[in-house]
Amino acid sequence: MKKLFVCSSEPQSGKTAICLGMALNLMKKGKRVGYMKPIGNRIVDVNGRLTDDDAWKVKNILCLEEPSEILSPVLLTDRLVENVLKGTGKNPRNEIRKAFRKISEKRDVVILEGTGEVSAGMMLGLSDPDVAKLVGAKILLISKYESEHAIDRVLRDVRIIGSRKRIAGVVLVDVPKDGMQNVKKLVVPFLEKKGVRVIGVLPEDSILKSISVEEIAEIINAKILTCRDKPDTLVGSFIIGAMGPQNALKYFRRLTDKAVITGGDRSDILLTALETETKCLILTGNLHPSVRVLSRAEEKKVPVLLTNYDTLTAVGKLEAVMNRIGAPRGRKLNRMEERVARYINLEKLLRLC
Amino acid sequence: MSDIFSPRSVAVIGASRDRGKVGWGILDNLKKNFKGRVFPINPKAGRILGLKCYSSISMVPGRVELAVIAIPARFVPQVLEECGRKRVKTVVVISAGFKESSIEGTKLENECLRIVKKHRMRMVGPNCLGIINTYSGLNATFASHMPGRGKIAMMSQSGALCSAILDWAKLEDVGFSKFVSLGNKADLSENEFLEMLNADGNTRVILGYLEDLKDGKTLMETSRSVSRKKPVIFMKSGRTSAGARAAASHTGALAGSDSAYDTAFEQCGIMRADSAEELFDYAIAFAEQPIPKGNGVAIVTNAGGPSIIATDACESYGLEITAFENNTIKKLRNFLPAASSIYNPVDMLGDADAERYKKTLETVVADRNVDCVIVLLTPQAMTNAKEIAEVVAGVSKKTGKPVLCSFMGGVDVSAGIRILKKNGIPNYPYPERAAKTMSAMVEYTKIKKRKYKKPEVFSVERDKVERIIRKAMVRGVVNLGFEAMEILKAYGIPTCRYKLVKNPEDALSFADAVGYPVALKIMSRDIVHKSDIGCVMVNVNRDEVVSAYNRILANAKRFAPKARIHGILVQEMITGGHEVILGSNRDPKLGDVMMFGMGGIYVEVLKDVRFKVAPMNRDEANDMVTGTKMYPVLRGMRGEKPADIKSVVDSLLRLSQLVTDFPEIVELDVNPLMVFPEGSGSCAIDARIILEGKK
Repeated sequence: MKKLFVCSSEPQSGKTAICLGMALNLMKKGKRVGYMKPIGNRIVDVNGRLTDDDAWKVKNILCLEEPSEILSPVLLTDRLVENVLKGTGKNPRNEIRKAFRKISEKRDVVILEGTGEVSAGMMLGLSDPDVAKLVGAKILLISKYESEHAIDRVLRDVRIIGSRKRIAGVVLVDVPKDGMQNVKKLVVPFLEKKGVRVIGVLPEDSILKSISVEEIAEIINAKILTCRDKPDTLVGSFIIGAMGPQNALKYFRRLTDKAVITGGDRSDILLTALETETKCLILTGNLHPSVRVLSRAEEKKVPVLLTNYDTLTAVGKLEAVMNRIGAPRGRKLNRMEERVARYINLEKLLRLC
Repeated sequence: MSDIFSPRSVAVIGASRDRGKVGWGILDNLKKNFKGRVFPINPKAGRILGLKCYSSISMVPGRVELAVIAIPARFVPQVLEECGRKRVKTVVVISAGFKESSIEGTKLENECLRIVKKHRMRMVGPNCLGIINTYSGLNATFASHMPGRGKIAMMSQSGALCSAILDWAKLEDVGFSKFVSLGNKADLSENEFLEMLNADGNTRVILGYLEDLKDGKTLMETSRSVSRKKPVIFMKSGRTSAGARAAASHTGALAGSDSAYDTAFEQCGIMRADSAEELFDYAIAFAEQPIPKGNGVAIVTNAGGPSIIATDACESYGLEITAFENNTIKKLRNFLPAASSIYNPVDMLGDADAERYKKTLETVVADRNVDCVIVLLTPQAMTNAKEIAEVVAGVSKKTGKPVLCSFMGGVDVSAGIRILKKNGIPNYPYPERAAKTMSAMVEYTKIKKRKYKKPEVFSVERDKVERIIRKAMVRGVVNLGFEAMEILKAYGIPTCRYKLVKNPEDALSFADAVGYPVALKIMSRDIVHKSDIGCVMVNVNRDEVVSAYNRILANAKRFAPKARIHGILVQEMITGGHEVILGSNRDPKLGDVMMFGMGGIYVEVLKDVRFKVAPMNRDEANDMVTGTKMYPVLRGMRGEKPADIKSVVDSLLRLSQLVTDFPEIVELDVNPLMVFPEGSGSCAIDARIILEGKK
């Protein structure tokens, strides 16, 4: 059985999405794939039980039978942290081992997802490399590549992991499109020379960074007024329409993947937005728009959302989730699956595990 | 097309037996006035208003040319199908419940349009009051009055305004040739009606009340020719931002910029009325009076105060208080009392009777300097308004010059005003309105004389621009900076010398080649206001190039850490010219609106800019430049040499061609264009182009 531990140089680099992308590709090839996130750090309540949000979503997407307390056996709750600091709690190693044994039954591959960044969990003695060692998994390091600084982070993490043998390889993600050439020509050979295998280089992707209308509606608790059949529409940017329509037009034209946030009484702004490429209208303050706006939106196939929140609150909530891929759904999930198939050499990766 | 107003047979679908219902009102109006055949359609009634009812339009024997539909919206598509099969030419859909009321209504309206197109019918409305042709007696509306015959054609996007005007017109005895309630304009709009009314021999002036335009380009094209034949006067509401918002909510009208409408209307000869009052002030004058040959106005009055008011108003509306010929003055002196004023304005004194009015008017209209006359009257002890009105009518009939009156007052002048009206002489309660109307008539004289020349076509490298734009669009780029300069060059607009470099050495070698000082600026799509964050350095000398290069990059990293940087643009420094701004901005309704204005740091405050809708010809481009307040500066002040204005006009025309050739360009700014002294041309220093995001 192959054991792969996915960890990353920085939080929110898209680990969950890559785990899902790999799992789906492997399943397609007939492999029995297990998943676990040994230490959960994104704690949510599901039907009265605490669990890790990523693990819960992956469970649902991959239709995993294991209960979430097996998929994410240790949760970084405030109490756990306090106990660790006091030195009173018992070490959760055994729980991880037990859960892993359960998950690896009848599985060809188990993908383990790390916590935040490589060093996270160190205070428990359970940083990502520690856990990987505990279950005997090889590490796949995910690093966001925004500039050459990423090389430093990769080398730093390789040093934290310690043994090169423990590392299956590195995947560079979110590489700016105009930097791809440079990375392939200079950065990859450099890392390889340093003994760091590069398994994949993924260019930045506007679809993955975007957020669907359905997700937006959930986040700001909005009612969908038009185009209910298009919850999959993806939004890549937000713009607040608080200016006059003439000025707004100038801003609206510069963004083609936008949602426009404004009050429902601003028919002028809303109609102006609909004249330009707009993915979604978000009406705040629970001000219902005029029929004309709704008709026009319906004609242009643009979903209109109505929320109780004021503009500032709505923007705050949306900003908090932007740039975080999390567990993708719908089109984004398909996209992730395709990207893993296209940019990550899975066969090579499994051979190295 | 003229069939719409002159059908030989009309069906009323939804004809009703209940007095007070729309379907009854329409039938009643038709029965009272219409000479052709009328078929009420109502499956439940046998006879309505003595006319035999049919259960459906397909049961009607013989042809039906026009169908008026007044049934609930959801049944309209089905009925339209029947009309189509019956080969009805035109349908007037009175019913509401379409685009104006709900999303379902929008779908219903689109469905109606589809059916109408399929059967090659034409549709007025939906959601309208109907249409009237006073000459054929067709009153296919549910309005309670049939207006009298007249020379004014009116179309209105507001049905409520229609009924109010019809009611008012009845009281005021204003006649119409045609009356159209446009409704939602799903099929027929102001564009088609403008052509129909142009062709209509009974129409002398065309009025429109509009909240939005169906298609600004077509309107401009059509009215360019129509307006030279007949005056076209539009009132376009939603002028202010609050008004525009109201229009957006009510009509779904998108607020284009109001100045763009002013520009477009001016360019294609549409006169814009600011109020409904003005609309009819103008209309009545155009309907009844000849247009003046020039702007020389004579004012004839029996009171001093009102004549000063009138003089002020005339002057401020651009009319000239003309100086009389000597002969005129001599004649006036002969018969007017010594105390009267024989120069323009002619004050005949308070005791002026009909005879004095007659002689004075006859003398004044004979003067060759007089193009038009405003007659004032105030009720004084000796004044007989009725007799004077007869006299004014008599003079007006004989002269080819327009005469407008302002018989001021109420009870004492009302009999006179009635006579004026009967004789086609417009009367305004105060002189300012008469003056403003006269100035509109003078304006129209100019419009009538206009000769529209097609925009010239320059030879340009269109393929090159095509390649640049296509490349950007493929990459999803909408904001062009560096490439914008390349595009300008391809269209023959001179630019300063520049080079995009990626290291300080290249910056230095290019700077050496063009000479010092130079300017350096960041090139990044993500940085809009580059000078605000220290990413533009000017007047850079040789020993400063490398440090300027590094400082710009450092500032960019500091203030815009996420911006993608394409390099640094090194440019030669241009001095010794006037800075102007050229630009274009796509108005959602009117198309590309070109802009010309003064450059420099006060541009935002002074707003000394002129607009025109592209494509424009040389006269129009010239107008833009000469219309600015800074024009005298360009022409040369205080011994300064005049600037190369021709090169500015050429650049405007080339840009107009560029934005017309490439609908992908939605915004364009050349800021600044340096204009050198006459003969030395001009040169674009910086430019930006915004492409339309793909739909």
